[in-house]
Amino acid sequence: MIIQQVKNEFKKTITLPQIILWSILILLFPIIKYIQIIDDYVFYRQLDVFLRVNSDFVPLLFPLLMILVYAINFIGEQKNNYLTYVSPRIPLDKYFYSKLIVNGCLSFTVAFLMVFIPFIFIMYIEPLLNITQLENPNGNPVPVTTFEQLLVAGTLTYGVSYSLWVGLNGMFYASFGLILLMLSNKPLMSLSFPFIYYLVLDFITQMFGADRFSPSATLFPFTISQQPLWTVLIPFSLLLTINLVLFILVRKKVNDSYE
Amino acid sequence: MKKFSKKLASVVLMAAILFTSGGFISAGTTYEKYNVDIPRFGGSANTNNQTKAKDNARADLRVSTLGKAIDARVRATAGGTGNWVRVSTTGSYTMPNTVKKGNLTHIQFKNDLTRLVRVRVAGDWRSN
Repeated sequence: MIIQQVKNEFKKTITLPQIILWSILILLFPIIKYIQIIDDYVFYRQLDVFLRVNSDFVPLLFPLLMILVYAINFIGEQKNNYLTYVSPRIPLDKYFYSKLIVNGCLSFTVAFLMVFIPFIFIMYIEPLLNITQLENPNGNPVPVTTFEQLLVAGTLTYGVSYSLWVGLNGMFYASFGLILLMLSNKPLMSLSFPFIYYLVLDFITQMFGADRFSPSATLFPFTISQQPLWTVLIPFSLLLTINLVLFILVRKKVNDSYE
Repeated sequence: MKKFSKKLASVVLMAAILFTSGGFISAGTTYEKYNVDIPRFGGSANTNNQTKAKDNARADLRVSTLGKAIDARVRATAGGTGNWVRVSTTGSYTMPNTVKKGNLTHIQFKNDLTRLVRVRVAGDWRSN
């Protein structure tokens, strides 16, 4: 039953306008950043170009971009009292869970590709086109970032693992917003809250010099020097816990609606 | 004696003008200290100007205090501004540029867009 509902939801969601929107979400900021940096920055390694592309815009707006993937569509259904018409046809829990599954899959894919497409282009295609001129460090300290520990297993392994990590986080930021929206009737607050949470936690960690635990730096590490890999699990665990607690609350809400 | 007092007076006057105008510009070959606060959200800040001593020579930037990683470049309004270099740790950096001899030059620092706090950077530099 739920598998069928998930299939229906995918069918309903994957339309041409949506694919265009997802493509814009995936490519727009990396392209802008790439154009901005390519002639104005000193690069010592090809990886530096990739890390630079993943700085500034995407790290700043990440939770908002994830909300735009799918969760934002739920506002329309809520506004049109869609749930009143849905409940006689489909059990509400199946309806909510299928929405969460589809939201998770789509936001994971968009976040993954947002990083993985630039990675493939910059690491494998761009060197063939000779666009970036790499410079000799001449004794300058070369920035080394978190996740580069994975480079010992190979460049592609690094790229895939890092993109999976961003995908996973994207999925949980998107779920954070969607579950809040399911729990309340305040769309603006619900969907902007994950972004506010992200910024506030970033601000607190930066203010106390604990940047290595900041949500943005554990996802897009260019802004700080290399940290042990376990550090990225701290903000992730917090995000996971928030998602679990909110999911329990949604289950309770759905169960209560049957009573 | 009269000539000497005239000379002395003109030296004193020149020194007074230089000090009061606040534009005491160092020659590019001497290290000059800087201590700047870079505003949050991608803000930028500059060191004092120096006069470039040699065409296209790389500037030397020594960083002794660094709150968080930042970007830095050699900048001149007359042109020849260098590319941004990542300053991720304290230490010495050589900064590329194509600024011509005699032009006023400074180092420009820039914070990351995701940086929600101000960053302090201090040390010394010379434009060469």
